Amino acid sequence: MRFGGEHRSAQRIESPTAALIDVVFLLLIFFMLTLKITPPEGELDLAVPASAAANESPDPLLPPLRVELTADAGGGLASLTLDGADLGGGPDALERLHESVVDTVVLADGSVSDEAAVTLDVDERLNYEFFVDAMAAVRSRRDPAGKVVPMVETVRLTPRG
Amino acid sequence: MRIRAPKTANVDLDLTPMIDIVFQLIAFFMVINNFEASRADERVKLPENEFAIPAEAAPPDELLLNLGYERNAAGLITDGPFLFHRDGRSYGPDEVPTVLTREAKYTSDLGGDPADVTVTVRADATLPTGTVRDVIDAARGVGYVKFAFKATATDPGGATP
Repeated sequence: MRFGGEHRSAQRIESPTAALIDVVFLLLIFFMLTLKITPPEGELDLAVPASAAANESPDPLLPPLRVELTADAGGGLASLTLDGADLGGGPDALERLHESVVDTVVLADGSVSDEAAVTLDVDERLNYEFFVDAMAAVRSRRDPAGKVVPMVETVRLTPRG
Repeated sequence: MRIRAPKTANVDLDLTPMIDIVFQLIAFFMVINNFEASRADERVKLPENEFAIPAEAAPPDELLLNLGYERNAAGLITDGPFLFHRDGRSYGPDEVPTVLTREAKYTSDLGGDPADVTVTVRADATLPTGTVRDVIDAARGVGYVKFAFKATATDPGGATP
């Protein structure tokens, strides 16, 4: 019995890819159109106890550093003081504040005292950006490798009059 | 003389590499698409700070408050300040306590505690600090104690490893 005349040709199975490609291109266009390039946002935390009494530690060994920010008529930073010492105004004052706080609270071994605390007394008219800058200047610092590390954990706002 | 009909050429396009590339493009756009940023209100021009660290994970319970101004096409302030709330409405400073009371009640009704909710403040850089403090005080009044302030991270690579 010969099967010579019955060459079984290789069967080709073709899956229809047109629909898949349509959907894939639609997805691609969707993601391209909805893409929004936004700069990354960072955070600065602040714990504000519900009661004013809880805002103050009972008997701090290290009195909190008092930072006072005063605004000019346009909401700019007119003057900045640290424990009464005038650090001037403008962005340079925030640099000086940061350096002064680092000098005060960072110990010789590079650690920060747990007792370190800062009280911020902020002029109500001051632009919010300076409040954020002042908070960042006391809360964070750079380690020798250039990484941002926490510095003063306890930052309080003075009660409003 | 018989003329044979020419054989129809069967041209098969190999679509596999194209589909591979398109899928990779889709994956790329999905990964870089920052869905978290879609909650942010574009009317709020955040302050910039080098110490602001992008959060590794969003807090489990978060109340996002976008505080800013209405601006025209040139970026000039036309109205405000407002709380641009997630319900799509803009609330004036006088209405903020009502909104926060409603949010706190909503949290309590779900069995949560406002003290466990982080209030994330996205405030415009030019907003008076007093306005932000009004919002903080209103939030404290209804039981919120944890606050985080957003700023555009100018050095996102400087975060703690």
